[in-house]
Amino acid sequence: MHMSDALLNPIVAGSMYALTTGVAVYSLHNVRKSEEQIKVAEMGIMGAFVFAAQMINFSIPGTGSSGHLCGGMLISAMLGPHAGFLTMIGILIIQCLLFADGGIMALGANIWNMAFFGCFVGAAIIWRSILKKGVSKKRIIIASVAGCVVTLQLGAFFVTLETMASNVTELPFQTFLAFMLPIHLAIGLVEGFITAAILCFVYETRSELLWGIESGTKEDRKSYAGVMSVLGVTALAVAGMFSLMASSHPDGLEWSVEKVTGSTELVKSGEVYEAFASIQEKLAILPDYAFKNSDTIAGTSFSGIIGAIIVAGICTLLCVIVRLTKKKS
Amino acid sequence: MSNIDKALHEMCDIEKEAGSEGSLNAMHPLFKLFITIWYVAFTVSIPNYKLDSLIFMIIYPLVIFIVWDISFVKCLKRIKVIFVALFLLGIGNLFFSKTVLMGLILMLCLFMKGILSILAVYILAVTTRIEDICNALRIIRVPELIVMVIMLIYRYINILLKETKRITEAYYMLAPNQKGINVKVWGQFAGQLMLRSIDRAHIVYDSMNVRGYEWSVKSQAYRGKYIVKRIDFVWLFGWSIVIVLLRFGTYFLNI
Repeated sequence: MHMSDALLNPIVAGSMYALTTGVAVYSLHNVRKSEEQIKVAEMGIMGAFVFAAQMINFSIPGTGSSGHLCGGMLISAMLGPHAGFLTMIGILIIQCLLFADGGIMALGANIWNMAFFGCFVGAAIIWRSILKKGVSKKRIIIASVAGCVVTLQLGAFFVTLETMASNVTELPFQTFLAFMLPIHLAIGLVEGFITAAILCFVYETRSELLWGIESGTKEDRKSYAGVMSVLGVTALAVAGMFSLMASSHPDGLEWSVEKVTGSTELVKSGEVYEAFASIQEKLAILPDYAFKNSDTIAGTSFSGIIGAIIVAGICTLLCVIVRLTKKKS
Repeated sequence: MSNIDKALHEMCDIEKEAGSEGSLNAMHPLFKLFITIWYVAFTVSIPNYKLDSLIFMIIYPLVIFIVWDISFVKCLKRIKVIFVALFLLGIGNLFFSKTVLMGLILMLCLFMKGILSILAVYILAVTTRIEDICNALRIIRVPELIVMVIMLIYRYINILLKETKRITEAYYMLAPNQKGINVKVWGQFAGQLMLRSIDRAHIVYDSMNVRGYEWSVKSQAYRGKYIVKRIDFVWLFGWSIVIVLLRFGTYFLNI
């Protein structure tokens, strides 16, 4: 999944560097805060282990292609997401600067696609939530496989997104995605089972080396809140920056409508339509993802951020309602 | 395990190449890093379908490969996997562009951009040692923890290699006449390897601590080690200007 420089334009590459730097600073802050000397040696050797594992490509049966471990999930299950993320940065820098594997400008994107999802989604969310109610070999297998599959799918999706945002290929988004997701599903499954086998062995022999298996402490909860805030900041950054790269072409539905009717919008007349249109006009504070009567890019960016906040707010509200209803029943 | 052995030995080869004596190897690592990023940024910023502009960009790696006698065949062998990935992505353009010719040009552009940027990073890799790259990162204020992890990963690979060899030998002695390692014990094998390596890494790290090493204290060893020479400035400004000229060569020549 190492992206080459050719797949990104400087703007997307720069944005990915900015996102990655933000998460790295946050991780660094957390590792320093919970400073344990013993972890430094573990970070080094786990990094070497994943680095070596990434060198071995395994064949994907029936496809004629091959894949290799990403390792973000494995590292984070041993070291925790913050130390794991920093270690993954180390691995990817070595691969990029010493072996020309993955572009130097694409380094930010590669860290994001391979390390961020593996460490923060795979370990901090999936691994943690599955093992929260107790540890068993079965749970470790489920967490490892689910974590690897989900994070690899997210990584593959972002590779497609970044390539498309860079406008370097005429390949349609859906076609590219249709190639990327199935192959990474297969790789994710293989990685998941390898990760599960290793972690089960570690659990049986030296369970104290596994991260996050004693859950429910105050410190854990604080760290979980931290992860959620990183994800929140990331969502805002993506909404604010990627929205600027959005294509001005009509979307799939509009395109289809245009092909049939010659216009992207269907004009309907009648009192009911007009009443609803008037309500929508009054309610829409940012029509067409921009400030009213303005076409500035700040409006697009602002719309992205506001949209992300509102969606997060609605989701939180729904969760609160569901929780309250559950308690009552 | 022969794969891992082969890959790790290749790594040692690159390290040996980077450590060899030569005027390019002796150049300031930060300046080399800067020129690499500069070149890659200008190469990938070339718009799609501008194949002529990309042809000019070949000059930088070509000059370095010829003047400093870097093996092109070895380079191609090492980066062959990337060729396949770029080819697979590029070939799709033949079918999805407006015309086949446009698709072909776009495919070639993508291919060339990828190869040229990889060649630039490869030049950096085979002429700069890991210590020099880490010190360049220290100079640009990359946090010490990240630099230290990079150095530890690199050094611990050796430990991992030795442990792998030991475990593999032990396995084959216990299971003679068996071809490869049984799938059923892959997890145990890799887990055992990881745990043993962690233990050995701790021993190494403890001995480093006993000698007064403290990771949170920023290494000062690099200070004074990298004196910027006149040739470094010539290299930096010379190539910076040349790369800009190569990038906009077609505009200057009105092609």
